[in-house]
Amino acid sequence: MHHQEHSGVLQRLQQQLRYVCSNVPCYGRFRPDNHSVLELLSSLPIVDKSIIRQRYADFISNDFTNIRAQLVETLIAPEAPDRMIYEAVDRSGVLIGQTGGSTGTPFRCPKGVADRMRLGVGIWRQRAMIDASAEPGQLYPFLHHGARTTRFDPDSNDPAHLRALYEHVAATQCRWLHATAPMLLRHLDILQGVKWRPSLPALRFLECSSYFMKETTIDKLEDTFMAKVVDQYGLMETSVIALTCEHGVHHLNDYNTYVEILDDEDRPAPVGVAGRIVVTSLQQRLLPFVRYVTGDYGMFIEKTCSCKLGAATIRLLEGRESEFVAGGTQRVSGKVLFQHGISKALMSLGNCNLKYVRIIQTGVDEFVLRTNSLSEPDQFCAFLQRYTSSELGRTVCFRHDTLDDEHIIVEDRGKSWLFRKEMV
Amino acid sequence: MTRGEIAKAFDTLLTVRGFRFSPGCRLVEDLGMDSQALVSLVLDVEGVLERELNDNTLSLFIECTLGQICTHLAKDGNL
Repeated sequence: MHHQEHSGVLQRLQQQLRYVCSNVPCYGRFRPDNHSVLELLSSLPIVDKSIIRQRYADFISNDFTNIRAQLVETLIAPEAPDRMIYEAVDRSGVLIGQTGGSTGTPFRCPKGVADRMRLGVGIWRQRAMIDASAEPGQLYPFLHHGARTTRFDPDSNDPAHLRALYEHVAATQCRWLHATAPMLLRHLDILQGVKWRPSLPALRFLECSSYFMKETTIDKLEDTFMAKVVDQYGLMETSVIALTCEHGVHHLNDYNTYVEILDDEDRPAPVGVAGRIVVTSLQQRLLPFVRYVTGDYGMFIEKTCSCKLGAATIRLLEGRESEFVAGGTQRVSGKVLFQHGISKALMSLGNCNLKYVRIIQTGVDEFVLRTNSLSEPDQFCAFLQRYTSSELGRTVCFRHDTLDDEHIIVEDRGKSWLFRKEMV
Repeated sequence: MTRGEIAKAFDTLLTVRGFRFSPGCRLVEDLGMDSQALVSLVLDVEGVLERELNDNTLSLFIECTLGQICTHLAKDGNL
């Protein structure tokens, strides 16, 4: 039995699939009444961002015919990297989210006000199962704050600005802080440089999203902020998929998503066996994601705790589809390959003033190395080119781009990299 | 709860948020509530009613007038 079957989630799934088959053009040929809900789901195509990007109009519900053409225009419009939008409200009140694609092409997904509200209710219901006192006004978001703006920028590298930010957060007396772990660690490093440490006495929960969380990172953040770390797993596309309980176990959000874990032949992976995480949104109507490939890997695990924030539990595995080097006969993790390559380069060439590095794959045999200003950029780039060619068993080409601090911040917002590291 | 009691609860919840209750108002279209304000309101309404609203009922908060929402919630809240 699928782990989400024993909750009310199947009823939501049935309702959503009926909606999708009746209202979304690309699912119009499917007949919901001839199947059980799980048979119907398994008959629907598995989609990824490249499929949706090519046919946005077919994935937008007929309920939004009046804004479809204008919306598609916004979704496909190219945007310069330094003008990228992350969560912005377009002319028709639709909230546009944006992620970096594996090729560096941004992928935009729209949510209507009703979508956002239903997703938000589901998110807060799950938070309330961790913290009975949790309320929307008691969470301070360093990201995912939609169209709301403040005078503080958590992306700043200015210690005085960051100190003012944390003093402002403390004054709000928030119980929850929503951020990414790398962002918080960067703040701590910068603030340590001026011998100042944030103090947030009212804070109880530190909700971290967007990055795989390691035990050592969780321990450091919990010790520093004296708050419990909650790891939120989700996508810009579908919002929150799972949240960790007090035992550190990810519970699926039954209000908002139905999750499948599939093997390479698209068959359901048994409990305890890793596979691709494929998600169906239960609340989105404007552009409903159905059997959407997240690019993440994980496995269902037996639920051993009595926590009630989701009937099904999963374990996430480090690494995304987009972090594997394309074009080879074997799966090579960019993280592993370039961690070794950069260590060897630094040992061979000295430290070169390397503070920030990001590597993206622009073609099968073409890579771009983006760093801060280096003392020996050509040698560093040539070393990595030789090393990578040798490790992959084919000749590859590296190009080097220098980024100033401002561009590093912009670069860092997306996820389109094989490898990324900030040297601290 | 009766429709009148629900309307009174709405009145209080909207007043503390700086909005004015009127049975003919729609929350988004007329009062200009954004999704965050709606989430907060829905959670407070669930607290008052002491029950979780289902997905169809949530949609009422976008589509219907406050008077219609009160009527639905008083009937069974489980459309």
